[in-house]
Amino acid sequence: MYGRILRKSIKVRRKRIILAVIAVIMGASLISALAGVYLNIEEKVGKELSSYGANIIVKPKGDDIPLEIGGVNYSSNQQKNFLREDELYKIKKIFWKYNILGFSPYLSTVVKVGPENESVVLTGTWFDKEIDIPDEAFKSARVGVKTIAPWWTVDGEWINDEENKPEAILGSAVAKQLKNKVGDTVSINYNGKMIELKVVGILHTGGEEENQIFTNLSAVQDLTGLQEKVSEIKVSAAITPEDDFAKKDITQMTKEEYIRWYCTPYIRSIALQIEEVITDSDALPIEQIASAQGNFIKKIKLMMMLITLVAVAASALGVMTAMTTSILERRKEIGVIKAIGAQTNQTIALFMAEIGAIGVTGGIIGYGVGIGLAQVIGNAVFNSTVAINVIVLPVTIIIAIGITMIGSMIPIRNALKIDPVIVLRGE
Amino acid sequence: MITTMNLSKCYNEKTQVLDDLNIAIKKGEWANIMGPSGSGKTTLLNILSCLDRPTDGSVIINGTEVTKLSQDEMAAFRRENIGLVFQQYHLIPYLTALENVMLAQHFHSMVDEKEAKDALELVGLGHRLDHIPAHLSGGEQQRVSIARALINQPAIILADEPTGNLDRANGKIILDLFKKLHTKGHTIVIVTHDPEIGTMGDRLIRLMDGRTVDEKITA
Ligand SMILES: Nc1ncnc2c1ncn2[C@@H]1O[C@H](COP(=O)(O)OP(=O)(O)OP(=O)(O)O)[C@@H](O)[C@H]1O
Ligand SMILES: [Mg+2]
Repeated sequence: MYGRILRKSIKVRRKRIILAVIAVIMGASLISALAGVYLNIEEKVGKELSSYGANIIVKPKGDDIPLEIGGVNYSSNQQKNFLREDELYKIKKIFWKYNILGFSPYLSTVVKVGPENESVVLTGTWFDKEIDIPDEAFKSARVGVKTIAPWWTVDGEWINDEENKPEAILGSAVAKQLKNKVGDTVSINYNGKMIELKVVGILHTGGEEENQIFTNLSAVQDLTGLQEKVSEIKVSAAITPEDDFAKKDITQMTKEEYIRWYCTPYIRSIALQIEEVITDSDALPIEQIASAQGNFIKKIKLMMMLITLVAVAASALGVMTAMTTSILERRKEIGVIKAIGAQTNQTIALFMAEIGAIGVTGGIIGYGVGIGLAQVIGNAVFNSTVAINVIVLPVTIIIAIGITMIGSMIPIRNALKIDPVIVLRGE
Repeated sequence: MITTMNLSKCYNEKTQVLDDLNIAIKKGEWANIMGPSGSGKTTLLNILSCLDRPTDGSVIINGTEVTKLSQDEMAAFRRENIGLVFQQYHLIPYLTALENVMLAQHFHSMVDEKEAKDALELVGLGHRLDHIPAHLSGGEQQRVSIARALINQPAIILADEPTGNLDRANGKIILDLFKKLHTKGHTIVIVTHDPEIGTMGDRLIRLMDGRTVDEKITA
């Protein structure tokens, strides 16, 4: 009987019900979209944030606290210890290899440039290089400054890592100082040893790199006689936000705790794993970036929860409006049902059937719309698709029913207050 | 069967609609209630129907002091013992004649389509089962509402101006139905303005300003 009443009463009040369902769909779709994104967010935001810079810096062990001017180590001429270029690939072989989003080696030295013999830092690095990773399913990995500093822009051309030509990219400040432009040649004087580099691009980074000249790693190695050596490596890793456990002293951990810690992509565990593969190295997390990443994820999650809450509230409000009007229109009908003997729970059951129908319909459609919405969010915000998670469907339906119930609570209470004596009085 | 004791109903300090009413209606009796407009007939019937509560006094139906029952108990008592017929029929507009009758079964216990059809046959609407109220005449709608009132075999039928909206011919069909129910032993209370109906029952109760002014045995 409920089925029959439900079907017919919905049919005659189609518009109100559709309105209520739409209200539920709006809330449910937003929730399912956000839930979909939420379940993906650590990875997505991790990746996104890692592209705002390296978060681990690897230096030779025992390197003195360097004298840094303009971001470059001026004591590096006296530097005794170096890292080995032939070990770099091992960074992509650690336990959390898939979390290594990119890295780049650097070898810097101070040189004299131009007719006025200005002191400038010359840095050799990789720009965008595919390196072989032996014995891994992915076979090779893309590395170089472009993988850890994607926001760098170059007027002109990037240097091709493979061609190994005598070329340079000038930081925009250096270019201004030397009054050089793309196509010019700069003369580099390293302790009397001269090389000529052709300017192929002007670099804009918004940072201290604009005061440097960049060229191939091998060019600087040849110039300084430091073959196969690098002075530091910057690594960009996708990490999980640090919790209290992450900060625990590893020397105090039990074996089980240590394994758990090692197998969690905390920035410190990844750094430790890099130290393990790079001989005589110190891998230091860049604290600000790491904690900013963690905090940012936390904040985004909080914001998403707030949006969800607002969506639920708005959606429930929409349902309430539709249900209130609906019940106002049904006053007489409810009066009749009570007069012919419906008890409170039977009257409620009548509405519950309707709530269930609205909630389930709104939930299922909302889930479908939400999948689409999640992809739109994924594309717009993270430039990638959001993985579809089936768990979101039942969750969305339950929340949709919840929304309908919350929205219907006051209207149903009003319906239960309807006095048949008053509504059935002849008019 | 139905006894009221010192029944009073006030809507506010100024309007006392029923004033110390003592009525006793016997089992199987047909009682008509008449009186000028505003004399409290509907108010009285609503209290007897367990739809409304008196301000003072009590109503005992079939040995139960219904004025002491809770809201839900009153609803349960009503569907068990009382069939209601209204002047405006009050059918659910989107349900068919048959479904309107079955709805009363549903709230009472279980739906039984065969039984509901029989009830509609009894009021002469066997050929109108699947019509919605809008596609039925006033008289036919009132017959559906009588079938609905009867479906759970209540001992008592209470009707508030059941022929008030009907022409003579249709009014007569309805009254013949009440006669049939009366002979079957139902206790019937009808509020009416129609003097002709007034002469039909076993007794006539005249109300004036909330008091019984005249009571006579007509049969
Ligand atoms: N809810 C209410 N609040 C205040 N006064 C009411 C209410 N319901 C009824 N009344 C008043 O009570 C009095 C009796 O009303 P009732 O409907 O019982 O009269 P009636 O005898 O049925 O009249 P009619 O013959 O016109 O149907 C009227 O004066 C009416 O205005
Ligand atoms: Mg009346």
